Amino acid sequence: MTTTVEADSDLLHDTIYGWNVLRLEWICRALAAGIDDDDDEQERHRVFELRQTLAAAGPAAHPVLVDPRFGRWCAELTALIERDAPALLPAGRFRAACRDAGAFALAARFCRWRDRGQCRDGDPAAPPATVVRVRHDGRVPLPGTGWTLVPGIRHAGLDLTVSVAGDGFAAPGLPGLTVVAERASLPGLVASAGDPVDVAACAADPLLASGPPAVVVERGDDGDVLAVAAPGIAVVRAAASPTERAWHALAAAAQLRAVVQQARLFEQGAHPPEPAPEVAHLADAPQLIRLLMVYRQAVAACCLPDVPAGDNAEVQDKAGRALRSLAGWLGGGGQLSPLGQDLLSELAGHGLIGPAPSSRAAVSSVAVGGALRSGTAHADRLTAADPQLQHILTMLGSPDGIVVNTLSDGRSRADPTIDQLSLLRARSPERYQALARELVTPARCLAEELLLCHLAYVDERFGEARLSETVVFRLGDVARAAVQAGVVPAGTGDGHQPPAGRWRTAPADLRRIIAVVEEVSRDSDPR
Amino acid sequence: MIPILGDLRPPSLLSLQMSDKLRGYVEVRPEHGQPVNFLAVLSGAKPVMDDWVPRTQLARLTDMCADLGLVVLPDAQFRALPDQGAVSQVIGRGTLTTTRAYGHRLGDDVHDASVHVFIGADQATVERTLASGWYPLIIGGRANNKPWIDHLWFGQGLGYPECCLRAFAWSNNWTVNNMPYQAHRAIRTAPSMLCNSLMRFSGLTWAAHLPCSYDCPVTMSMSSALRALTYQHCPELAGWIDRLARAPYLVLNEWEAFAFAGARVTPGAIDYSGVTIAPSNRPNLALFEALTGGSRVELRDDLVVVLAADGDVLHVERTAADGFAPRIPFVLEFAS
Repeated sequence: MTTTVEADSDLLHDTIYGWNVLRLEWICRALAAGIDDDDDEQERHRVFELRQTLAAAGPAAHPVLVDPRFGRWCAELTALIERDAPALLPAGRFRAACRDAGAFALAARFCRWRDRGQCRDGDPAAPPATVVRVRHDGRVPLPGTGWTLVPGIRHAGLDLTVSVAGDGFAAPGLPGLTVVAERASLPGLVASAGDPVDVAACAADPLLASGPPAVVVERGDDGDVLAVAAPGIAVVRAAASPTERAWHALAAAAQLRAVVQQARLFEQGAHPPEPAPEVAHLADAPQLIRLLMVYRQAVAACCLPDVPAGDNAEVQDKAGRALRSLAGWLGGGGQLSPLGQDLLSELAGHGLIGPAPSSRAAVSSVAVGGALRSGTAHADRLTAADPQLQHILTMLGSPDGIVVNTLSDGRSRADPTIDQLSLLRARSPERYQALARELVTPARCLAEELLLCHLAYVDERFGEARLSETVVFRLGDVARAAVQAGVVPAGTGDGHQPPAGRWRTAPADLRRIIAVVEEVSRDSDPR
Repeated sequence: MIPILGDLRPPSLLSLQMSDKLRGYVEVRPEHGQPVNFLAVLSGAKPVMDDWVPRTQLARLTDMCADLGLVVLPDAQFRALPDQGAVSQVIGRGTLTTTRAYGHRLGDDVHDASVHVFIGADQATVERTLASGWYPLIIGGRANNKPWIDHLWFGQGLGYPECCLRAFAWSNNWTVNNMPYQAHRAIRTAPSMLCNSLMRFSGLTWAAHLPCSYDCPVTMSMSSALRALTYQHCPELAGWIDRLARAPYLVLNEWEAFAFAGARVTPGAIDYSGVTIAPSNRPNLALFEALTGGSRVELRDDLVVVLAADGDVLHVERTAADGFAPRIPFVLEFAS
């Protein structure tokens, strides 16, 4: 099962290519703007060098730029930059992420060399040697090339100077460098650890059936498997069967399609007045893909013939955990889209849970494995389909959106976004002002309306509050102050209905906003 | 909270020679956690300390402190939570530390309870500190954290230096920052063992707070006086604290720090013969086990690589900086 929008593979590759070029450009500009000492200048330089190398390689570097691992690297470095890591935490992971640019540069140089057909020893036009960082597992995958260098675990975290030599690679400091091929069962698929993937199960997916490689299957432990991977990357257990890997690959392809489609929608005008039905589905995509993966894992553990009968207890335990996780999603999340309801029905059809409920309230008390999970609270999430607003939420430590919670009895909860905004105003007034300028009136959505309301309250109270007092604000106070000050967000009066399809879980009106309590999914200051 | 594990584990306090005043306190609270802070309060160097004492020992502590001119104000009593999973349905449980307990009013009859107390010389100061010194509470299925201002007021009540409180206000954001790393970056001269608070959960440090830098002059001055005082009251205890404070440390964040014995530090690496893990709410026991089996640790940006004597890699620890409690590995070598 995949999401409902099928994108043409070429169009999808082109979109990813363009997207990643822009992401790298943004990273380079952000890094260049932030340089104020030479602590990590050499590391940053590798990112700048990567940009130059990719530009020089031109179309030859296409496979590198569409490899999901390039997107993951961009996402990680972007997240670090947006968390102000270059200034706050320049050592450690930030420096390592900059150094990771070397592997992509080497991959791009190799692709250019290969495409030019100049694979001859001693060719004067041979690309220059490239410094790469060896990963924690002693390997250096070269995305888009089909090759992985294996210097060995002793070199983990160290730099290695590598040249393109003949039709392969050489490291002067490491004679006999091992190079292994990444198994490519299908043109669009990479199994980075060489694990077999069920080709028959994947062949029907056009993204997997055609090149260049756009989906990567990696090994991970149980914790990694349940985590949401980067778009196009499936992380599976090392012991997974080829069939299970195939399911994860399909899910990763679906997620990639959904994310790319979302990006294209943003580019085409951000918020269509009347979104097509599939847009509403796509807004659910990350959660639904996760749901799908959990579901597939549960089915794999319970139903597949390739599960050894002797491992019954372990299988049951895994299935139980997977189903509890699934129930957690169902009980803790907002309304499911029709696609989610389909999945739920399918799950029920396998007899893994009770009859598929028709509403969230019913879902939250669904019987799972004989245990009743009663819903004592529910959480809605104001997600941001607007990149600009998403950026603001990320600045506020809530990149996944604002979780809007109400207790079962409707009591209020603390609102860390107020704390975070107050801290931002106290610590970085210029960033606070910049954030305020990015918000527009009238608001584009309910999440932004809520932020505007918070900003108004912080501004009103800040003058009379000391730095350390600004974080005691609570949403109940926000609501009262907003009402007293006449700060009523546009378009949220009585009878207001949120734009159809824009937000999956948008609250109905201002009264509800005032009544509820929010909680940023990643607490801002949880001591 | 785990105890100190490793070769620098200190001896039992009751086995040490000490002054009668200190022994009076240690007989009520024989753990290592607070005797140094008690001496600081007793000398007037520290306005207030907080402590947990067994319910059955509260009257004895109060009488003993009254004899020394100190006020004891009890807050609430706590009973250990046998099943840590009992918070699995709590909204906001991700913000809680791993040490959890049931809270009860002081008047309740609770078996095996400990009372949270505040001790100081000035009643009003103790009352103010008590008001700000409360733990996150779970009420009605929701975790409630105290307002941020209370952290600062609590620090003031405990007598922490203003420069360190400012640094705390600025940097102690576990979502995006790492306060020990910032104190490391802020070093202008050389790290001093008098500012080494990495073992503070054990109580065996000269600085009880997170310093603004590991060469903070105010902290060094306060710690120096406390050290001299401790040598007067219990030289053997002071010697143990010196040993712990002088050791080189591998630090990742407030939860994860390791002290090394028989160590030789070179840039980005430590060769060692023994290792001790600093107690914390979330100690990294897996890395400790790896370090225990190794003899050299190397920092390679985000990787902590543990090597055996023959050069074989025993363990590679990845450290993420893009989530809660960012981990930044660094080495601190403290001067006396």
